[in-house]
Amino acid sequence: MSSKATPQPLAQRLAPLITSIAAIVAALALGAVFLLLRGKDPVAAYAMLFSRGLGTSYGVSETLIHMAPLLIVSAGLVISLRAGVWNIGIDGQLLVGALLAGVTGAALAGQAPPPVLWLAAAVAGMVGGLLWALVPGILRVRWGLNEIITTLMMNYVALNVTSWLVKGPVKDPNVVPPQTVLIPRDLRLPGIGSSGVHIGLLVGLVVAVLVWVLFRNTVLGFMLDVLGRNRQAAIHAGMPVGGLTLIALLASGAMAGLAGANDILGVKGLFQGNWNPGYGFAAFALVYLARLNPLWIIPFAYFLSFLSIGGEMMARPLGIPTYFVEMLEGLMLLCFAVATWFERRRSPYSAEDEIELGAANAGEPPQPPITDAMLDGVVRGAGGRA
Amino acid sequence: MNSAFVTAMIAAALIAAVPLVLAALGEAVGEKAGLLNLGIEGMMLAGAFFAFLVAFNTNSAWLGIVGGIVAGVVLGLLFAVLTISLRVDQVLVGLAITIFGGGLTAFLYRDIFGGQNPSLPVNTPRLAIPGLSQLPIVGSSVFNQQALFYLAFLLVPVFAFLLNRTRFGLEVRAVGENPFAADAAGVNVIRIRYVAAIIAGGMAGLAGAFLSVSDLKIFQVGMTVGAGFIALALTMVGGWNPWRILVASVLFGLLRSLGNGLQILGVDVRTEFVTMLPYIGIMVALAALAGRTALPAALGIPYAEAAAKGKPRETDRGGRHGTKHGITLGQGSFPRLVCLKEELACVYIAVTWAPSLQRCSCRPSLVAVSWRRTPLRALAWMSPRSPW
Repeated sequence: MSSKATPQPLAQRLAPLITSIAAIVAALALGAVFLLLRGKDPVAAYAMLFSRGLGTSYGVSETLIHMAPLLIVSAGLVISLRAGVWNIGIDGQLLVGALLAGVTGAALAGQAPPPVLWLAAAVAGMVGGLLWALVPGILRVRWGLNEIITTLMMNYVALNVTSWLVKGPVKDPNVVPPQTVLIPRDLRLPGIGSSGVHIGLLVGLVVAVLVWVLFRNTVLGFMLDVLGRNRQAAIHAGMPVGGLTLIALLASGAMAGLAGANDILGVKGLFQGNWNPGYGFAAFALVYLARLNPLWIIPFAYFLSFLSIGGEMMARPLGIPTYFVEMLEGLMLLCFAVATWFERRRSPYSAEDEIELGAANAGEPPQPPITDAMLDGVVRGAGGRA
Repeated sequence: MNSAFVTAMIAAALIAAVPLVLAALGEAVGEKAGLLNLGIEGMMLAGAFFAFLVAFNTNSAWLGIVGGIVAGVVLGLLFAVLTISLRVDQVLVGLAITIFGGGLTAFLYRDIFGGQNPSLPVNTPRLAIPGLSQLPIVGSSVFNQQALFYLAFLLVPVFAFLLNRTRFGLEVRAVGENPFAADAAGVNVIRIRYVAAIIAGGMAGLAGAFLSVSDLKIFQVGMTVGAGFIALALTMVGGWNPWRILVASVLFGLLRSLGNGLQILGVDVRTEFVTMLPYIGIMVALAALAGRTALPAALGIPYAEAAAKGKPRETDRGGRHGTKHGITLGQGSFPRLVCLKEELACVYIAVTWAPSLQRCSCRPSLVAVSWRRTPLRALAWMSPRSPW
């Protein structure tokens, strides 16, 4: 019988977050060591990073603008990772989605009222990302090809295909550089109030909440969760495993495409030939730090985009290359890896459980830890039988 | 089409293949030992940067190469500690190392060299093989190259021998197929995996060092542009066989040099199409080979000594966890739906499953969700084909 009559769900639910926060703090400390080794003053660097990134209205609004596509991409990534599918082709899916959105938006400019234009461009972006995820999805489901490799390869194909399209078929004939026709500023996404932040951020927040609802309240979300936690269990339970895998990949691809459309409609207005924002790696870092929780990705998306904006703002005055932030992201993931080990050492499950589970889920993304809060639900439900 | 053109094409293809062969050989050893290393991209970048840095400061290309290998080994060791000792997921750690390697090298390069992009004053020696280098066409393209160029191709038979003909190779393969059986047979699984990870890292570092010191004589931010990932794919296309990896890499190199070749010939093809050919080629090759190459069975699976060190296993999965939580979780051999809690609007569902019918000892994989609607729906979709 469980000795804990009244568990503390909130404290226990927040416990996984402590791991992430510890990882971030450790990464910042290691980053400071690197700065010291290079003869820079880490205190001044972090002071400027935080004061400019969080303390100035310019920093905050830039962060919020940068956060929107990152949030959408991450929400999609949560779906695929929780379903046990590695979608590493986010960057490619985003590019294709952005290109299609740019073309659709420009074609409808002046032809349709702005809301219709935005909707059409968003749908075009999602279709683009979805198509790009469809190829690895089919290869995975039909031939069992590892999606890690195929999604990676599709990134390079996407770079070339978009670069060809923007130099040829969909190029704006009136300008020299390879780019699509510019969507006029007054037809782009409007700002929220008087701030420079466009409403794409709201789209991102809505998407994150929708993914949360998907996993919390729907059968599909439940099946995806089962698939990610234990593929064999899903097969045994008679779930359509192939279809679910495909859905997870397509959903995250569509999200990536939507994020591309967001950037085009909100900020850039056109697709340029050599544009590749590379949200993929940052999204990976933040989704793991948020423990694959669709709501927690919101603060983490803010934090990571604040880091990259703040990193840019402190680069010039302090002479610290902007790549410092990229290094910090890598350090955060590495520290997170170590932190999960500490977390597991405290968990009641032993190494052998882990191996058996590992054998069942070989090659699939690690899931957030099972907390006692989850188990207590089971326990209390079975109290009568115990 | 003249002979100079063919010579240039062959040379370009082979030079493009060299870093891929080097990195893929190391990766093959790692994967054979059960380590899926997505960090090669970062290890290659680290190898390229530190090789460049050392060569630039010491004026010695060879010291630079050593520096590159050391950088790769250090990251390989980091990968080993995290995935083997701490048993963190390999793909996660690999991606982390790739991101970290890219960020670290870019940060250090810009910080040390500022806005400049210096090129190396030194290079590894170019070796002309006496006699052979006088041959037409292949002479100057194949037999008059950097020393590391030959090393890459010499390492192919060395790795083939190492993997297939030595005790170490046997142990590596055993560890990758079934670490438990290997351990029972007296193989030190942890040690073998550490060695394999270090070899993979060192080879990735060497591949990067070839790029920056031998081939281009410069460092660029993100200069590998995915070569590490391509090496990973080529390892799979080559089925972990060094000879096939060589063939796959050279074919990849040929497809890549085809683009420039066609342009020089004045054929009107969009470069983008030719540039993406190798990537599509990899996917087609993988699809064609699907099912015919068997992945190392334990690829990606962490190994914990504790389980093999004679610790009694629970034969009844009701055992420990059941006691702890006061209930018996699925005591049968079949998956079953355990216990639904219906409290206000919220139901927790646990799905348990036994991985094998003979040995029902694993922790029930537990899925807990809250359920707003009726739990009957959950039962309905689970029941038709489920045997409980």
